[in-house]
Amino acid sequence: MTRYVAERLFQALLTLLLLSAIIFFLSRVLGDPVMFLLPMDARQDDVDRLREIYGFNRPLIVQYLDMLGQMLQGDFGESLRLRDPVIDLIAERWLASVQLILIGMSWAIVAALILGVLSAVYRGRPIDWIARTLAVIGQSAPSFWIGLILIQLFSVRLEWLPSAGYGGFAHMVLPSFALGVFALAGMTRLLRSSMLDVLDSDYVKKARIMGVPEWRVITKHALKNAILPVLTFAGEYFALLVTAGVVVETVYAWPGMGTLAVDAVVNRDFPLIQGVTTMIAVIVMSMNLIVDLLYASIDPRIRLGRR
Amino acid sequence: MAAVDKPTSVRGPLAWFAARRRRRLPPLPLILFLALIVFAALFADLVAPHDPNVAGLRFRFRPPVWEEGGSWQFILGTDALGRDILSRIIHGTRISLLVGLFSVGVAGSVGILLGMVAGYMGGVVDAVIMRLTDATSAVPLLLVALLFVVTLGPSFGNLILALALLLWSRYTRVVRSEVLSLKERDFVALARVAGASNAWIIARHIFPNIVNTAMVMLTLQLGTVIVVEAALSFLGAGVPPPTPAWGSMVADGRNYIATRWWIAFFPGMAILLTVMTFNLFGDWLRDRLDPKLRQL
Amino acid sequence: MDAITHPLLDVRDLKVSIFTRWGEVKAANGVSFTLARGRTLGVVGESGSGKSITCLSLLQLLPAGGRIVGGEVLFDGQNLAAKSQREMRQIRGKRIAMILQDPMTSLNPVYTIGNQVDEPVRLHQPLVGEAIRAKAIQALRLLRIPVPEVRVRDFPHQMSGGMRQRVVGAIAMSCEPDLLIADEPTTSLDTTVQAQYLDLLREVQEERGVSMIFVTHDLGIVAKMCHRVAVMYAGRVVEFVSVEGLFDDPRHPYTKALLASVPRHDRRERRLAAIDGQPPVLHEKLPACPFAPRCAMADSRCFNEEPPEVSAGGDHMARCWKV
Repeated sequence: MTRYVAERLFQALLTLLLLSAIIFFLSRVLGDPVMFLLPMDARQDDVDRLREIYGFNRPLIVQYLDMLGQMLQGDFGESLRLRDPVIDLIAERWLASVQLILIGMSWAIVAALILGVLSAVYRGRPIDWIARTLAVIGQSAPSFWIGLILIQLFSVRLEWLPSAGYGGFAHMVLPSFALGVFALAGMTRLLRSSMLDVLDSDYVKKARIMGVPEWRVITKHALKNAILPVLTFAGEYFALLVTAGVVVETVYAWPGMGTLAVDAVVNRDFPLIQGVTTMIAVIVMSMNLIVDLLYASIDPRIRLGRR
Repeated sequence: MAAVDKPTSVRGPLAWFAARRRRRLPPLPLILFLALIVFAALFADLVAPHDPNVAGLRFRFRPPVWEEGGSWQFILGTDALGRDILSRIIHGTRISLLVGLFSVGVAGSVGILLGMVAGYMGGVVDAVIMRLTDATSAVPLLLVALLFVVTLGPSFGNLILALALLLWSRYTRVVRSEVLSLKERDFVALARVAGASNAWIIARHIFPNIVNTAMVMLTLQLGTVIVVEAALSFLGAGVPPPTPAWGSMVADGRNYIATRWWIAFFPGMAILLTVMTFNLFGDWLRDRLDPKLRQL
Repeated sequence: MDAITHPLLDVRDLKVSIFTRWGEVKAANGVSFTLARGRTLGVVGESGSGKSITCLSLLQLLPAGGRIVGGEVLFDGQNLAAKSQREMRQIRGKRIAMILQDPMTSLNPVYTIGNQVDEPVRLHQPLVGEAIRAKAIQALRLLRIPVPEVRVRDFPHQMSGGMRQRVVGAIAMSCEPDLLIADEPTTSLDTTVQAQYLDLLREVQEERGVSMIFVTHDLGIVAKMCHRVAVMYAGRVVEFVSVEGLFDDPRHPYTKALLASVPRHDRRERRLAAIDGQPPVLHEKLPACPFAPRCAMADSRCFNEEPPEVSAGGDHMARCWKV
């Protein structure tokens, strides 16, 4: 088990390294940050001087290694546009994003568990039909559009909930709902199909033969196995949720890393882009790690290895 | 005798019903929707009642026909510049479909090729490719695509490139795991014994066996790409205006969501229905071609 | 006790149908047989002849759309076919247990062996705490699992196929049932492991006096394990006979065809080879005798009038006009 965790951690670090390189070279190859900072008619020696100040005139590989070294010390540099340290900007915003994503993911998981199990157990009945329709729609509707429709319905027409901004629980409802719909739909479908497989398996049949009551067959024998395939994709759904979060934050003017990142990209604020993407990647990868460990704790075949 | 004329391998009394259930054609509504989408994309100029880009300030903010003040002239209403929403949606089909097909094509070819190589070669090559897919799936890809389009300037080609960059890793992972089991099979060993080169084995023996999987994935991804393209357009990094794209149309309607809901509503509905059609078609294809892919 | 007048299990004219979108499939169409205490009944037939459905219907565990539409299942004097699901749960696992074909899929991969053997004990026996585990270990020992005190902590994937099937057997025997149904329990095992497992089941039967129903299409297993045999075809028992009668004096043409398809010199080890023609497709309208289309002796009466149960002396029954 320890070996397994160590292996996963090492892989995560390697991935992070690769990732920082991709972002770095991508952003430097794509555009010259200095040209953006200066007016269009800037003189060449001004350009050169600015390059020297920021160290942009050194070879790319040196700049990269330099940045890497600073990042390891927790220094993500300074935002080109806002002139604040990147780490401070992220510190201000990350909690709001994580809140939104965790709440979105949590309600989606709970609802998917209920819908997926009911839909499989009552296969072909109205509840199954409803759950499947919801899942198909949820998988196809863009989250930013859902966000706007929710605002129109619940903020404008019914005036129940605020349409934008950050505050108490009421501000959280609409954005986290809009964000969670896609994950809900996907996980419901996954759970339904794996649950149907498991309910048809010999060990479930055997439990029924041995006189185990049906609710216990479902909760003890079927669900724990049916969750495994869903868990495999949970990390992926989390990553998708983070991506969708960028757009949903924009819709609801949510003061999180998503809006920060979009601003950074639009303004070509490279240190900020580098910092935010790294931070988001770290969140996604720690989530993946948690999911893997959870998987191992449920499935003894992973935990103990095959003989 | 009637009872004897079926040369099927009957495994239990229900096998015959199972065989009959495997339908040849997708359900009719699905075919109709697919036809409608393709038709709209091909013949937008003929079907659309108005020019999608001609503004008429006289006609701005017309509601859809069934609302008070609406008229048959603009069935789904008009936007802030007085452009006909229905016509823009019809023309938007073209962009969504083109972007979808091209980026799925590029991402699919690259991803499938890398997946086959990784699975077949194993070792260092495999490790490198798999770390690359890990890295790409951990990046907030929408941001990277955004970065791409913003810095290179919004254009059709850059959009395709950005989307392909986003989506290739999925194919790689699925194809790789498929290849891992394929290469243990006897026909690969036989080919190797017969002296076939690696490239030949991949092309001749591995590829034909993953075509079904690839087809299903490509179809299912088409829906995803259309949503992501819409998201990029929504953030202002799609195909440059005035070309009508669904995502930017929703963005156009965002400021008027309180009072003129239709401007954002109908383009979003178009995204929903189109994506749903491709998803359902992909599901159907998967059930027919490759049932084990269910979790995709 | 007189085994013939008071059988443990007396199935009378059992009819089971599966209702699908396309109509009714008569999976068991008037099945009758009896089973005495401490004895073993072989149920033989091709795939799709209704063997497995018949066994599952004894426990009222039919696939979706399946229903008992007629007949009686008299088990120890009570009619199981008339019992509710709730009442059946007190029978399942406690008085009737069943072993399924594939040991690789019959055990739940996420629970330990101990947990899975405990479960029926916990449900059906008035035991608590340590006593439950003791009972489970006793069952594992009955199935000759070495060091059961240690193996209870293992997960299924840590055991071999033969060992797993023993665990499955231990789960079935954990509450000391009166009837054990084994649905082709050895088909997925290696030949040597298979022989060991069959011997083991026979020893268990001798030790515990449990009655068994052995579903199989392997006549070698029938010869080795069973006292009486019910040959099934198209949802009917076409011949019900002692094991000696089956091999020495088969009466039904289908039984004869089955035996002929086994090489004479080594009948005990061979599987059934194919019989000419196709097994019937049950949803279609069958002739009065469903075997008639494949039967060399069939005449027009076989197609039009249902053959009666004809006695061929003693307790030997065959359902054929030509006995």
